Amino acid sequence: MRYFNNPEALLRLVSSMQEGFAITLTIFFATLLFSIPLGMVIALLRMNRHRAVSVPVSLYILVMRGTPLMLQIFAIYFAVPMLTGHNLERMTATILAFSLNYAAYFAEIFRGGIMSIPVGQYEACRVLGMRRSQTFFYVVLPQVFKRVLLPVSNEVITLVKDTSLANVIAVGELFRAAKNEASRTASIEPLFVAGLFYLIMNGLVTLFFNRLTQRMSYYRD
Amino acid sequence: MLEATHIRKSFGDTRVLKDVSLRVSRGEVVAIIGRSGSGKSTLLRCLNDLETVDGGEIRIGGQALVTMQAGQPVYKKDGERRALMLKMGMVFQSYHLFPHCSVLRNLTMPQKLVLGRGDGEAEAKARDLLAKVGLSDKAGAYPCQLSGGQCQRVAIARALCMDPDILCFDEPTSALDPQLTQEVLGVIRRLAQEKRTMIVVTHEMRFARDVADRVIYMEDGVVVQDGPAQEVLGDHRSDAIRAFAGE
Repeated sequence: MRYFNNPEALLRLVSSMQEGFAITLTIFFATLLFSIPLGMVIALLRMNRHRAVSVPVSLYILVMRGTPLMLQIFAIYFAVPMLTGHNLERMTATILAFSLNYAAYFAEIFRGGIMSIPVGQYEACRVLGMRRSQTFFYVVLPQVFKRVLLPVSNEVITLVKDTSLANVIAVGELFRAAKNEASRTASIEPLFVAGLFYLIMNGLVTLFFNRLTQRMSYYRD
Repeated sequence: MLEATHIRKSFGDTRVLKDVSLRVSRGEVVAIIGRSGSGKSTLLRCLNDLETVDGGEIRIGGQALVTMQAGQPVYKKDGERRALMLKMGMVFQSYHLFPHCSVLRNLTMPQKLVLGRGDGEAEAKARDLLAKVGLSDKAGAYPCQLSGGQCQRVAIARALCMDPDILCFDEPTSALDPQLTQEVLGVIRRLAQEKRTMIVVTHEMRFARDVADRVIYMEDGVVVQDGPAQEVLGDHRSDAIRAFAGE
């Protein structure tokens, strides 16, 4: 053992992984920031009654969910410059790929949530004279929020771990930092330390969603 | 006040309404009775623009919601259509309250969004109507904390908040036990005494006889009888009504 029996070395290892952790957090929060609103838009387009809209969107969701995220990261990082002639920053490509991919998953979760709202709610809004947009924002969306919390928390936990995929285009995130340290010192311990980072982060994510679920329990359907 | 003529409506191959006509005057309480599947709820839903008709005309307060043009029903444009439908209020069998909103917000939100009322005005109106249905103490409660009868009374108050000219009820007590049923019927009875124009689809024969001015009996998508409540449901009731009532 090189680190686990040597607190000083362990502390140095952890601080050398700090920067990687910061990059991991950036990918994580940026992906959530973009993919959740985008997912809602995709869900609504997927439910559009015009097939010219819903069919292409279904295809998008099929491709995003049906191919490896790792491949999508490569594709965006290498193919976009070939097609457009502009180079992408590694981080930009990463966040773009993650956002497009996670938006597809979120879209299907939101779609399920929206479809689970009883038709009676729409009819009540209608006889009260509410517009469709008012119905959506004041009646449907707040109820969808509660209904999708659990599946969304699953997705967010997966995202924490998936950020490690960014290392395939040499983004220096947490896992890459740990891997570099591991090969430099010929020890597997840095990888376990990285694992601990992910675990702690997901503990916090779980705590956050438990709180949110509790806050939303002020009503039952 | 309300006039529907020659209404036709099919779902697929099933003809649910076959040439139904109906008139309701101001201050009149009309009960629509009939077996399940006789088309009475569908008729009410057509009048409230929850279903579009396949044929026929509907006028509310003299204004046309749908008219026949070249043999096809033509509805008003969206904005006017919504404005016209504000004259109608609707109470559903299963209430359809907004579960995520408090009772008070259930009543104020539509007023603010649709009628553009301010907070103060909307809340005053809501509290006024909650008092009327006997639920002043439930303003802060959520629908899940109320009994079925209380939910239905909130739903009635919510509909009244929008100041409709005609209030419609679609089997308002069918989901309630006898005691809660009386609670809700009591509220409707009081509204009838105030000379509110109402159309009530119901299975409560006694209530129909006591409260309604007119009773319409439907069977198989047509109006079989339409007359004063005492005539249709009184001692000289027809064999069809006797059979319906299980006598």
